Amino acid sequence: MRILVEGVVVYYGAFRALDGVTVEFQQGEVTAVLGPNGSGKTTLLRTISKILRPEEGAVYVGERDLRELKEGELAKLMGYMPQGVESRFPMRVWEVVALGRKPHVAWALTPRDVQVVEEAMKLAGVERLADRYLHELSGGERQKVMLARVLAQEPKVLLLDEPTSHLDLRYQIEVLKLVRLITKERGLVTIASLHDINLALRFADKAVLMKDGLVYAIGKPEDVLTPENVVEVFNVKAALVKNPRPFIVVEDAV
Amino acid sequence: MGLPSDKLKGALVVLAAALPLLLFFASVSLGSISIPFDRVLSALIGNVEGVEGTIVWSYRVPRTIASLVAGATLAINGAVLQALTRNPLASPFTLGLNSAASFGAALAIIVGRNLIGLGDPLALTAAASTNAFVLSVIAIVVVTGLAGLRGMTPESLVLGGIAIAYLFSAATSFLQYLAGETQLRIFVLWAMGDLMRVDWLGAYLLIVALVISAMLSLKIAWDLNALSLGDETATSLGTNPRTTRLVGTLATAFSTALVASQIGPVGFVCLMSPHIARHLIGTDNRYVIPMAAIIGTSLLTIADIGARTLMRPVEIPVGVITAMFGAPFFLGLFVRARRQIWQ
Repeated sequence: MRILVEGVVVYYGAFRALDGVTVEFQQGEVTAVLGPNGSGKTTLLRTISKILRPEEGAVYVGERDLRELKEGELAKLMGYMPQGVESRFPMRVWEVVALGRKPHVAWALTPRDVQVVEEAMKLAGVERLADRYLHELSGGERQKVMLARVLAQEPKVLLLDEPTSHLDLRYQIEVLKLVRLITKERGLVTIASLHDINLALRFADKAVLMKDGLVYAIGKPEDVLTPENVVEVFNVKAALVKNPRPFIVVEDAV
Repeated sequence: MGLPSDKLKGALVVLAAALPLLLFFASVSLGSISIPFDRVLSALIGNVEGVEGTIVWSYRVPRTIASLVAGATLAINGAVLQALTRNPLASPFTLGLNSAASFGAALAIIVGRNLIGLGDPLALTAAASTNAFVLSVIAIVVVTGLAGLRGMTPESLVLGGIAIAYLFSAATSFLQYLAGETQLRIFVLWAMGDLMRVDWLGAYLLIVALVISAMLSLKIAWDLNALSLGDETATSLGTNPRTTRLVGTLATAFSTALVASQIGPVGFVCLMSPHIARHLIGTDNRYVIPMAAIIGTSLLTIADIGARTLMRPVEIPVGVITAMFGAPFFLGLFVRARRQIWQ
């Protein structure tokens, strides 16, 4: 299993959000997608998850063209965790996580489904919150619930849009450790957009640096996230520190 | 606590279903002329001739079927539309259906036009029903068509519905302005909604409405659940938001149109029942839908029993009862449990 994005062009109205992106994602690897606001990170994830249809180019899941995959089939293969998900209804945490089983059930949840849901809550560290209402939780707790939901889906491809944006320092590390562990254990293709380049340096197997709807650089995080590239893509002054692993210090906006 | 099992919730739904069964007998028995329970039972198995037999079979039974079935249909439709639009305040009437139906009835009652020219032109009720149905279907087509142009988003459905509602309300006001006193009186009665007018044919039509809305809503129950976390999450869970909204809107709107054509625009049942159901059983639409149906069926039947008995021998239109008791009840729920119901 791998994901191949080939020459993908995506428009929002007249705006060309992805301008011919080609990139491959491998099984058992966490790939971090980085880039400034509006560079096309989320658009790339939306295109891979078939929420957006590319104007040109194609996405392949394994050997199969995304366009050939039926909605139900795709949902069993691929899980997507968008940003800032809320509910207008008083949903309890376990109800949210149980939604992850939707692609796998016809009507009733089997005991195994229930077990998977409980396991996913435990992994994401939200089992204590099972009976709480989603809207009562903090942003970070909610984000972990959404992670549990996508894990309960048992996908082969894990797409995470800013999975750490609302988390405190400790949980940023815990969640990414968990994502990395599951990716290795279950042999997943994991693609996560991240804002924090240092988290990418530490937890990703591969980094994709995007700018203006194009892939600017791709490869090992330490090769991609060099001070030169960071300066060029993010418009900031940056320096590299070794401590002992590489760490980028952002000094000022350019 | 672990996950509440499906079995437990299923049992709760079955248990609650006993209530409408009891209400059936109460509703057949009570009215401007009350018939004792034992006489009702023997009339139901065909042993009572004469006036009581006629009252039971020609009036009470079809009317009771109507209140049970219409209440369930409206409640299901409310639950489905709230889920489809992710709007806890949505109801079939948000789509402009009551305004369309009322305008149709006004055309029949005030202008004397039967839109499809069937039946006795003097039979006002029949003409009002047909017109109400035809106009509601037109409203559905226009609203879903408009929403379809805008990608079937929740906002597009609600905005389209509100626009249509205003349009038809204005047209109805204009007709009322032109109407004579008798016509106005008949129309106002129609527009309040009541179950007096339902005969056996009406009861059968209402059963059709319930079958449509129950079958389709249960079929899309998981999709409705998926939609509650937004269209993107729903898509990634294998739900197509556009198709789900189209199917759900058409099914609920069509069955609501049938209901409105038979009993008029009875409010509050469709808005209230899904909230009470969620309060009792959580937000999973596989259980919200049957539970809302049971609550809706009970509420409308209780309201109709009240309509027949509160000012005996005068009948109060059931729409007045549902609004008069429904609104304060709803407000009470709102104040007491606002966080659980409206986040």
